[in-house]
Amino acid sequence: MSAWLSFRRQALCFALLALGAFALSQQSVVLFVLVEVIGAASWFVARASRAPINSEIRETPLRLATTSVVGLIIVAGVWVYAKDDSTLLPPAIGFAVCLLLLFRLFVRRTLSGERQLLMLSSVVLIVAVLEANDLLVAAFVFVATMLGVSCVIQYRLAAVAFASRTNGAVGRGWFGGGLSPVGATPSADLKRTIRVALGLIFAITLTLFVLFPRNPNPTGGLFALRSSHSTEFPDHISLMSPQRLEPSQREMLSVQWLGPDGDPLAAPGVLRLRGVILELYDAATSTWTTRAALRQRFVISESDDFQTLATRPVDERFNTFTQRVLIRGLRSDVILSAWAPVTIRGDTAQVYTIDPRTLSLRTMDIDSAGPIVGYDLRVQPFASDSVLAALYRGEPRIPPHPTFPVESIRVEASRMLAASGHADLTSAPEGAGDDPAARWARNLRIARAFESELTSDRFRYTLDLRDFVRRGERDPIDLFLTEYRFGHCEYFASALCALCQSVGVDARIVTGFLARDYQSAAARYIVRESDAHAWVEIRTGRFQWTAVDATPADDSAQSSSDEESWTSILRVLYDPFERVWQSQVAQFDARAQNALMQRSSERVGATMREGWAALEQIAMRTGESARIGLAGYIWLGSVLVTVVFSVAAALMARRTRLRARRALGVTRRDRAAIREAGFYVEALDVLVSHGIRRPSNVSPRAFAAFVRLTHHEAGEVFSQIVERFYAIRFGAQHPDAHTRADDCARVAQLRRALSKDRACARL
Amino acid sequence: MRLKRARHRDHLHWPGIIFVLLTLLIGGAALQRGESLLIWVFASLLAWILVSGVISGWMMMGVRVRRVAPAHGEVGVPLRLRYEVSSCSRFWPIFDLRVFEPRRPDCGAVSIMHCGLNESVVGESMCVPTERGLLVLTAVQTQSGFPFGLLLKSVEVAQRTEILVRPRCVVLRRDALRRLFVGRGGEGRTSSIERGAAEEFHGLRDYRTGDALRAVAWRRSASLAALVVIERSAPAPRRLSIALDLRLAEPPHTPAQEERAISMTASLLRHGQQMGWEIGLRVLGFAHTHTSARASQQHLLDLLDQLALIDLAQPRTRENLDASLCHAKCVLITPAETSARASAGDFVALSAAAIETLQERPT
Repeated sequence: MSAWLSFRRQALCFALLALGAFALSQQSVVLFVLVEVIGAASWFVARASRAPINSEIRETPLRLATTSVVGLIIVAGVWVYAKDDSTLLPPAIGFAVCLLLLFRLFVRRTLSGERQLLMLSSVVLIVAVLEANDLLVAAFVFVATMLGVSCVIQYRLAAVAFASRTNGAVGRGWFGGGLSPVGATPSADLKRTIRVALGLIFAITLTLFVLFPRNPNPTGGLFALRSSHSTEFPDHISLMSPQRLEPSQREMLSVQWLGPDGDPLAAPGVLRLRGVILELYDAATSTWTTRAALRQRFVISESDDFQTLATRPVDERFNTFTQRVLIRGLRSDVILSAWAPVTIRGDTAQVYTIDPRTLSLRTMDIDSAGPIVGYDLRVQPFASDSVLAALYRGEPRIPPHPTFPVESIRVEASRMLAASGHADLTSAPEGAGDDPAARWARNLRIARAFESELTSDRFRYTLDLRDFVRRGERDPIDLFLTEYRFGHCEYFASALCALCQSVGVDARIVTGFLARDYQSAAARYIVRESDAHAWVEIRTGRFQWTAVDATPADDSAQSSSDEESWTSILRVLYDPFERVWQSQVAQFDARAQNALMQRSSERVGATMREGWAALEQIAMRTGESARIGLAGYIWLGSVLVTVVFSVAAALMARRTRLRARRALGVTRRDRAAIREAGFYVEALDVLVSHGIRRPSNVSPRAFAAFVRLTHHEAGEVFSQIVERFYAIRFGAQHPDAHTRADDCARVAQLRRALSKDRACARL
Repeated sequence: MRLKRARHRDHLHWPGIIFVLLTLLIGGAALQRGESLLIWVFASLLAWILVSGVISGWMMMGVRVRRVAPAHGEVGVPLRLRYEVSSCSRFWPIFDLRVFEPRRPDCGAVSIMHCGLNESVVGESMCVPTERGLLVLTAVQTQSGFPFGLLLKSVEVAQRTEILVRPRCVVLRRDALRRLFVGRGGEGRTSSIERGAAEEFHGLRDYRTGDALRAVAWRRSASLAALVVIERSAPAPRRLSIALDLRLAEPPHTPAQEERAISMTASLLRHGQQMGWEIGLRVLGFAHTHTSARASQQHLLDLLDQLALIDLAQPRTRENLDASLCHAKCVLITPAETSARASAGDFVALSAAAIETLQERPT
């Protein structure tokens, strides 16, 4: 029964792993704890350690439950159909099958129940894989896959045992199979077989994983499922369709901020990670877009050293911080950086582009699920003009005063300035390009005035924009400023930028993330989806831009850096694995596959070429130096043949020794026993060659009696051999050379007797 | 025993087909989405299929099987077929092996759960013969879906075994023979010079070479001047001759009737032997099937073998009833009721249907 019990335990573990993987794929700790506790409790509640029964009993509750769950599945299907969102289908199926699985865990007394358990667990695992690509889910799936091998193998044997049962044999024998024949060491053999199967599966899986043809342009999900669990970083802001946003705590990335001395520390205040710079507003589509970069530059990272982003070397000795970013759930080609990036280093060799006008960075590799795993940036928050000039690629051209395409915004801007006592700043001064300092000062004053106006009580921050109804052709920014006065960060940033541009202030919207949640245990910021933000940069110098954030403070957006939890300690342990997973496995795309293949082929080719060249050299040297002539070559050949034969003889002797050890049941150290009782093994070989094999469960003496019955003369000789074997093996006798010769002679006599019997049988 | 002429086969069955379809589905999703975890799972499923084939293939290569079957059987009596399975592989023990007769669905299968390296295990299955004659088992098939049950691999080897299936013998009532021969005597006496074997004085006769000296009547020899020996009489065992009438008839008998007649004959023979009678058999319609009466167990088995080997498809003779058969201790068994034959002589004529009346009924 222990084998049966072991199988049941493993099946339960398999189911728990599947449930856990699904719960993790849904990123729900509550669900994880719930399903694991309920699943584990089933072992005790359902008394799963009992012997299986032949017939289904007490199935009514299960059938009722199954019917209920099937009904739930149908309802969920109808709901998904009504919602017209096919991405809801996998989680709906997963939840339904999880319910079924939990029910089945509590009613598993038959073999059929075990089979259903394994199948349902497999379905849950597949749904989990379709839902997530994270390390934890992958770990659960990996362990479950390996455990599944053992479970399925044991299930097969349990099925055989179950089928061979009779009334009197229930519960007896291996796996409770009463009548099925079993060898001497079934459990040990089974463990060995499972280990070998696991090794083979792992090797084949790894090979297939590396060789699987990757699609360079993944088209998304199968049957309109969710293509990925990662989030894309938008490169525009659209105010066309206001809707309700759900704050998500999903991690996008983690950031480590290293001081000039290389130690991690928390940045003073909130760390603003700049992503996309938006300057142009299209009134027709109510969308902020970025201006086409005219002077993009390319920076090729070799993945080992920092590559400078400037046109000339930058002094990094002072006031230079390192920003270490590890991408988790973000899918974008945008490189997020604090002001102002100086040098960059990627996890892998990458090509980056930098727009000198905005110092925004992107990567060229956008064809895979996630372009990059992580990167390090060295930034100078208080960069000097010389550094910025190097980054800007020279002196930037000062543009004329900007304008905004919606006239009503200018009117509202004038009203606001007048209301705040800055009516003199309403119109852009003529010839301000001649006095840039005045222009920069005006820019900042106006921006601050608008900022104080927008952050006042008259405006309200909210993520629920369902009441923000567009009316006619009125611009949403105009509606926001004059009528609704509520919105989220994109509306506030849009309003501030629009107001500024309408009165000739150089302003632009920046989208990115605010790194606020500093985990001191892990010494890094955790950036979540809810930390996505938009703010405005105002030009305050020839090279300088100042961030102005008009979004009112939100209670939920307060920094949680003070809150420490045990999870931060776990994160320290988890991060290295996550990094390896992301870099080596999750991001193993078509490009990485090609690179690996290329490297491998090059390495193999180089090795082969080197080996061939070395062989050629050796041959040439030998030919030049030896000059041994024909006789010498014959001599060398004979030596080679001798070596080959010696090796073959040694291998055969080793094989004989191994067989002798197995037959005699002695260890490697008992060389004397192997040598002295070797004649017995030889006699067994002779018998096997004549079709007489000793069953493992028959003692040598009993076997000799059997041989005597069938082959009288040979049996007599073999009996003598067996007695000699007993005397040596168990009687502590040590034969001398003569006795050993006698033993060998008996084996020869046995061979002759058997040959004679065969000849007689032929006659 | 080394298997010869082995035929290896692979079979796809529903679990395997469903698994392959699932794998293809996951493969399509992996190709489309390009996610590493999905690709890993797909590769793992493929590995399962490959490893399933590899392990079961290697395992089946080391399987050796030998059928151990009895030489004789009886219709309706379960026949025990034993299979000695041994593993000759150096690496792969045998698990979950099914051994069966490929072309004999009436023979059961044997499930071997495990057989270790260089071990032998014996499994036993039952086969209930339904027809009299030679039961020919031509091949043994081993099949396994180990380890995952995705692919079924089988090896069929030619192993010819002939089992002679004797006709079915029903248990007759204890007084069956007495009922048959009521008022017909059937018991006689014979003379013998064996001392001790005989009981009463029968007569004198001339000495013949080979007679025991103990049997010489010395006084009478002295008076006659020639050696005479004493003959004594002893009760002879009852003798039962059964004539099975399988001659051509008009209308012809059905095979079922003839088979029932054969079964009736076998039952009577066994019953007679159990009652201590000497039993003899003659099959009318087939030449060379005349056996004189004896009383040993081996004789009974020989007679049953003769009945088992009767081939009803063979041409038959139209011989008449021999006069020697027409005595009081002969039973003529006919496949069908024939009054004319019954009145042909002073013997007991039985139709095969009479087995119903003579059969022992469970109380």
